[in-house]
Amino acid sequence: MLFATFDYFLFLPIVAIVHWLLGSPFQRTSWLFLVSIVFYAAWNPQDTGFLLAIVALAYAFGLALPRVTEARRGALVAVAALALLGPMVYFKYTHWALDTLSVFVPVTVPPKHHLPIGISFYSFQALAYVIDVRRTLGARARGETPKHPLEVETNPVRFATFLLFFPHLVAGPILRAGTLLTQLRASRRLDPEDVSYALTRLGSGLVKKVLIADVLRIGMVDSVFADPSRFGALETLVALYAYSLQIYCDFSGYTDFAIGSARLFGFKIPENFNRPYRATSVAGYWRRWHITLSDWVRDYVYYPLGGSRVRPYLNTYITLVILAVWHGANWTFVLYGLLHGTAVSINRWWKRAGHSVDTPNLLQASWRWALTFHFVVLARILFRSPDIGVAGQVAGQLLHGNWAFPRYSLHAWAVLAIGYALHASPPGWVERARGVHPAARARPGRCAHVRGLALRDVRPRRHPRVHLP
Amino acid sequence: MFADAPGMPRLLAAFGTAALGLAATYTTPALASFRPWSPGDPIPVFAKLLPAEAPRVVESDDGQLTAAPVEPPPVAASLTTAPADPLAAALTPRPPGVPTPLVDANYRGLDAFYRKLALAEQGKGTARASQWGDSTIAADGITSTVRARLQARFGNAGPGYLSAGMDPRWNVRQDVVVTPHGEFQTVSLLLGGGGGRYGYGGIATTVPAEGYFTVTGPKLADGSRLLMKHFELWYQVGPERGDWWASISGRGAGGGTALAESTGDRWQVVDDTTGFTSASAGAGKSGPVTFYGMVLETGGPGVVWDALGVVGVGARSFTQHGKRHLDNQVSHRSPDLVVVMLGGNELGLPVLGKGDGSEYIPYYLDAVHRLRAGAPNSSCLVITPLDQGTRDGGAARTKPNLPRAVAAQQKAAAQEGCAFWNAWAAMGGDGAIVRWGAMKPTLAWSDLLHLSSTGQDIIGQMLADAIEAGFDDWKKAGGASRPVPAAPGPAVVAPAAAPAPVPAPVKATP
Repeated sequence: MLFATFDYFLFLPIVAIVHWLLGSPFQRTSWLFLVSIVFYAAWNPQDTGFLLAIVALAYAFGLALPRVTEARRGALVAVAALALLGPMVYFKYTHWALDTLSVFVPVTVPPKHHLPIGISFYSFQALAYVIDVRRTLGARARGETPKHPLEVETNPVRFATFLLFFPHLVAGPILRAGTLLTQLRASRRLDPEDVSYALTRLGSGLVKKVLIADVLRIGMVDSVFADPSRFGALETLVALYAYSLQIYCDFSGYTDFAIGSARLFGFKIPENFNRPYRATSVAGYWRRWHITLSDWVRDYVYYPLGGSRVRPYLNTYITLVILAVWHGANWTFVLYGLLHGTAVSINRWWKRAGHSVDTPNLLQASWRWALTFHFVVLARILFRSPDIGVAGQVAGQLLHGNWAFPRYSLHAWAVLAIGYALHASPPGWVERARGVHPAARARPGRCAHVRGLALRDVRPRRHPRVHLP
Repeated sequence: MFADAPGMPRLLAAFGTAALGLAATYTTPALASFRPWSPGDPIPVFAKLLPAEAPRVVESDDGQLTAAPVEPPPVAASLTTAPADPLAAALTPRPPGVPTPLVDANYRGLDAFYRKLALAEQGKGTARASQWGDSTIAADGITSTVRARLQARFGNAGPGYLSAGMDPRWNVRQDVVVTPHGEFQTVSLLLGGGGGRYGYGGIATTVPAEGYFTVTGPKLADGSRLLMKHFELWYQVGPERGDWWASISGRGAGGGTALAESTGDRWQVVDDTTGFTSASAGAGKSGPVTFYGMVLETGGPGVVWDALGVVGVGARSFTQHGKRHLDNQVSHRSPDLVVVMLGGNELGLPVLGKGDGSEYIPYYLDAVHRLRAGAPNSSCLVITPLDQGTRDGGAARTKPNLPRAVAAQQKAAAQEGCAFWNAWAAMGGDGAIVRWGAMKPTLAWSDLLHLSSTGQDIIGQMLADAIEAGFDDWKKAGGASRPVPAAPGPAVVAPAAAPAPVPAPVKATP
């Protein structure tokens, strides 16, 4: 079921209330496992068996890893990668690959497969679990302290709940196994501040999805991409601004729902977006956009390729193309990845050449922001277009279309303006809206916990971690 | 209870408040439109666990979650269609469309047009149809197919009326090439601003001093351009206007001043025996000129099918026209067939939400009357909107007011004596837009409102099938030898003033 629906409005409180009525951690975990299955089955019942098979495979690989020698663990992880990502690659990319191949050699292209919902998310998380277990075991075998220590999960229900936990199951964020398994093993609480925070995030998700993203999609975006030739240059540009905001509100709205829903069960899920359109460099944009996916490809693709030590520019390109193609099987995404790879490489070269990237100068920051923002917005043509032909048409309209005033409805204009105004508002406003409940400050015993929680969750990092070069 | 959940009272209070809000939508009639569930709808949560309609949600190529195709319901089950019509069996199957004949009792709605078609078939004269509509028609997808089909059978009499400048935001034509020069200002029926004068096509374009536009006529199968012999320029005169000029294939086709004390409409008409393949019109150095459009025709024999769609309009939009202005425009064009395909932008009207939607009938008929008042003896055809969907959570479904709008338009057509074609039923009725969107190549866009060019072509083919079948049936029933039925409908129901005398067109020979 979708988050922004009446079904979910009924489902969530019932599930939360029953969860806290249950006495033991095992009962609660089992309940979450059960309702997560129901939640997934409400999307597409016939995909549930497939999902459980992936869960069982990842669980089995996790159990097997300590039982084999260190020398064989690498091979076992390779088999796990094949088994866990193979179905996703098959379902998502076979049609595209054969379709491309058919241009060069005569092959029969089968119809597109039905893509099990959320497969891109749970497959990555399942593989990440296996890799983290293997890295932990490897580090200990070498007598080192593992960077992200992760114990093998032997409890099948707890393991399945980690992968199936419904708030993040179909649309992320992509969680490291340690993040959720640790919380599943520990006791949890639901404080009044948690409820306030959760409701704020749920409300925020609803506003982003229903009042902003859907309005912009219908009022500005879809019609331009359906028939670009009917729209002038300015109209197309405005539609691209609208699409950039729409897709941000779609994805980050889902994240808000996930974070808010999880908090009602006492779980803390990491942020996935940090006002990406305020970035002043393309590398900075990727540190703010779909953060958990960026983390994933950094940890499991970019670093294993050699990171910034070996062939950094090539690694950057490979990583960003994978990141782009993860979103969809289409040459438009390949081009999108290459375009961003080029921009991030230029960023890197610029920094290596001794130029400052983080500058306090307002003027410099402004033009860097404008350049970055418009690069991201224009690259979205490839992200949204169904094929390269349509992308070319949209780009052509930008170059050759008339500059007459766009004829979008006042309603759509208002939503666009309000949406970007909220995006540009000082982060402190949102922090205050979501933030530390006055009650927490009044009770020292809980103050540190709640304040730390709120700040960790919402405050933008002054020195963001490097997700990508 | 809730020992480790001290936040539970707050949670219960929040959800309890929300539940009270929801309950209010059931107890307060004014809030009825906010009800999330109504008796008869699928049971929330549980209905989604039933496998009958799966899969309902799919992940699209760009990672978005979208509605998946649903099993087709019984086709057009809720429609008030005519009894089984033998004409339907004669129509060509065009899946996923459903062959749908015209509803035209005793040929009352289309007799006049059929007579012109019969003449064209015999090599005499031009049968002119003008189709008004919204974005469905503005892209000329359906109309271009109908035009091509009828012109292939009865003869190509030219592209007909073309709105000046052809601003692609409002209206495009697929059979001609329009090249504007200069920064044009366009007003349309949707947003107003034209002082009640929007020309025959609902669009008026002001060309600045020294600006002009050129229209190159349709290309034929052998690569040559259609040779046209009849040219008309429709323009406006008034204060603060400059000189206008016109040319056909580079030869002068008239000129003069558009400056006048009061605002009015004028036409420049040129019959050119040599023939031309392109036409231009523009403003001189002395100031801007407002143009409505051009007529490009061959002089026959054949068919002309004007596409007069304006993005975003509905029946109420035609009140933007000054009554006399529209009457004069229609009277000058004198179409043999008035086709009205409106309503797609009006499905949210409160009148459609009440009862069976019959309060919409006068609302809709007002537009039909306005369009027909200048050509009271023309034939008349009402075409319903295409299927449109709305997303309800993960599932997409037909907008709830659409069946009521279709039924109301069918009643309106009957009242007016117009023929009726149910485009919604032709698509497959309830849920068709979702099914068409799931086809490969896609026949409908994800906005659940518009058809792709392939989808529009299917509808155009089906409409042409229906018209040709109706015409053949009319011929079998006696054709032109039949007595002329009473003029369709009340023609001019509103006690409107008689159309003002149309200023005599300026005849010129280059």
